[in-house]
Amino acid sequence: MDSGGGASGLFATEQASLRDELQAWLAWGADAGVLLAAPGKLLASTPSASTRVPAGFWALLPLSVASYCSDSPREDGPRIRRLAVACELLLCALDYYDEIEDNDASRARRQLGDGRLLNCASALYQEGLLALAELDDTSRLSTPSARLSSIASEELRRAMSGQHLDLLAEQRPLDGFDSAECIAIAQAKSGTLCRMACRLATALVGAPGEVTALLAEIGTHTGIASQIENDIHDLEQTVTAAGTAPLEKSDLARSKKTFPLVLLARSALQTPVSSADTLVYEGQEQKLAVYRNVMQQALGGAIVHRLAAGSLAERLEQLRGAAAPRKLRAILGLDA
Amino acid sequence: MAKEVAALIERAQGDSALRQALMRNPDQVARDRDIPRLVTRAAARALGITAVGLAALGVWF
Repeated sequence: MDSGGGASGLFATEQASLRDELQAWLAWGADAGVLLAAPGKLLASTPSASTRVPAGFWALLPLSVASYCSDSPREDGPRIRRLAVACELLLCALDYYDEIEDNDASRARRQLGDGRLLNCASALYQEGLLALAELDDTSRLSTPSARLSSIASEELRRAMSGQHLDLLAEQRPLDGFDSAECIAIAQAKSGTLCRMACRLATALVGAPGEVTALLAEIGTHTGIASQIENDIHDLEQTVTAAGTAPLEKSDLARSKKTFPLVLLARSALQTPVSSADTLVYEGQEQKLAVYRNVMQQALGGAIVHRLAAGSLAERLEQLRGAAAPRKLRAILGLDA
Repeated sequence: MAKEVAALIERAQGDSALRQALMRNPDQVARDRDIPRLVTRAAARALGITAVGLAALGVWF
């Protein structure tokens, strides 16, 4: 160390040059921090708003699945963690694409603006794919069908198609919309993403075909159930926060064809929820009772997929000859 | 399946005998009505969740 003039001055030129290099290479790095530290994301500094879904869910899901399926978790550990982070990056990117498509307004979007948000999300997406490709390059398994990049490509294309169906459905009337179609859309856009995380995890550790198939199916059911629960939550927020919450950003205002909204449209309320006025249920006990009944029906729709996942998990445990650990059960919502 | 569960719950909400049968023994209702057990079990569980219970689950007010 230079005790006289100080080392900082001595390296000023090199530091400036390296800063330029870093900035040119990862100019989006600081913005990525904003995206990845948002509520629910892996770097979030505050606890998740949901008691069921922990922060960093999209990293924890493949981590838990791969750890359970690996025959040598310690040896596979670094690659499993790498996959977990890759999934977090990919799903974080998709989440922000979704935000712009749905015109939601998170703190990150307000802070960065659409241009930086979109570019940063694309960079995260690319980083996620790159991590998968690197894992493929160093895999000792890598049959073509087990290549992580191929699995991700197949499932992401399917999920994007599902997302587009969701957007197209906004243009159609709520009246007469088949609730089975809501579930089909939820399966395509959300079930597919959970299935992808499970498939990537089992492929990484070379799980047998039957285990892979079971976990893929469990993932699909988990994704559908989570989507229905999210949709109930969105509607609940809209109804209870009428007059104070940004109603124009809700599923209702965008005419999303969610399972609970479509059931509500068929109910005795006859789609009463088309303006803020009709959302104020306080003091309207009869309407409130109908609304509660419909939400109970919607919740039943989520529960059946949780039960289906639980039933498949029992078969999985028999196959593996080991009980699913508490953390895996929690992340899959098997005890919900 | 979700659609079938929702329809079954809707029927049970207007039919107290069906509701009680579901709550008492969902597997029996499945056998009697030739409905998958998963559907009757899910319906029974959802029917068993009250507004208070929903609030505790974080999906209700």
